[in-house]
Amino acid sequence: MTVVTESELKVLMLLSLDGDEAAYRCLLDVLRHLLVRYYARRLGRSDTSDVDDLVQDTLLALHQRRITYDRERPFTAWFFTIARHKLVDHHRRTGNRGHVGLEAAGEMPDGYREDAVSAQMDIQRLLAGLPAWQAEAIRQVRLDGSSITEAALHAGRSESMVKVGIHRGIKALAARLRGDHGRDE
Amino acid sequence: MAGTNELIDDLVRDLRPVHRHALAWLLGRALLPGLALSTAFILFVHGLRPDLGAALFLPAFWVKSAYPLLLGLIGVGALLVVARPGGRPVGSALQVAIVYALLVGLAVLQLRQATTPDESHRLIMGISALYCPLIILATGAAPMAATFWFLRRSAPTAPGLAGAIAGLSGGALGAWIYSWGCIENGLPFVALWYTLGIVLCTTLGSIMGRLWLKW
Repeated sequence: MTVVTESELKVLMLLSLDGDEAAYRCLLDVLRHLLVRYYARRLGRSDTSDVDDLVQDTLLALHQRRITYDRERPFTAWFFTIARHKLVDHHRRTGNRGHVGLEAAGEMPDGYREDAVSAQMDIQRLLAGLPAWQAEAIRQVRLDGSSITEAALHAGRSESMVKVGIHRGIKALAARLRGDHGRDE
Repeated sequence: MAGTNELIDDLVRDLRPVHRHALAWLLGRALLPGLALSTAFILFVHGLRPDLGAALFLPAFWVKSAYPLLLGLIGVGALLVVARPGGRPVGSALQVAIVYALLVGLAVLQLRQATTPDESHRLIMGISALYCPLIILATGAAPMAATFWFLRRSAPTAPGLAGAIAGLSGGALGAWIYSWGCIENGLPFVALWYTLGIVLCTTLGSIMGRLWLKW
């Protein structure tokens, strides 16, 4: 499985919170695969329908409660707290109490411990494949909250070019990430 | 996996931008009508205290009003923490303890100044000791409905704790509104009976949280 980093997921989440549908679709696709692994490992392979239910329930919870994500905090910590909440709830409903304490203590899956998730946002890595001015415009407008006008001034290009550039850049980004994670279905 | 594909399609279609401070806005939007309703209850059903003009010059009046207001503000801060997954507002417990200790300190000072046993008794029991916690339950009801409405739209992972904080905030804000209608001037009275009213709301909130804040 391709390793997805906290910074990649966080960028996708921030873009999603700004209403970017391509980024959101990409985020949900990636998270779906992470969740399948997360729940399958904890429920055992026999419960595939339970795993599917939990995955869908968790994605729906992310959607309905995304207002509670704090942009200053790591995304994976927030997201896997929701996933664990759903898992504990599942164990409670199915009467599998023995598991609850154990799983609740089980924190986040491998690679998402606090030191990893608080790592500096590696935007350069995510944006590396794009033309420099496009990457910079995405960073300024979508992540730093600058206006299109400011970004256009900075890039020395027209506003409409910057707008189109951001749109294309995000599409390319999403396609690349989707391609990366499509393979392990 | 077809179900998941369709779900993702639906969620993407339903995507709306979320403002950076959307959670705080949601709480504000919930509390405003709650506080308005509670205020209307005090203004039009209970009535402001008849000697309000004179009371405004009493330090005890302002302490009595500040105590539940501070608790309410601490509670609102704690709500914004507990509303997020895994949120544990540990610092808020200390703040509540400090505010209560300050009130108790001032209450003791006020008691020491009392010259007769009658006066001491009046400072502690007032004339509305048993009525007070009940009316705080009443004035706290609308703000509590607001804080629960807010929490049901956020993501608290500790329903009992979240409910207790919702009850504390609602009860304290209700008590603050009631402080404008209440005729007592005794700080020991406030430390006992106001606190009892807020504790009742907190306990009730904790029970309601376990029932209604699961998701």
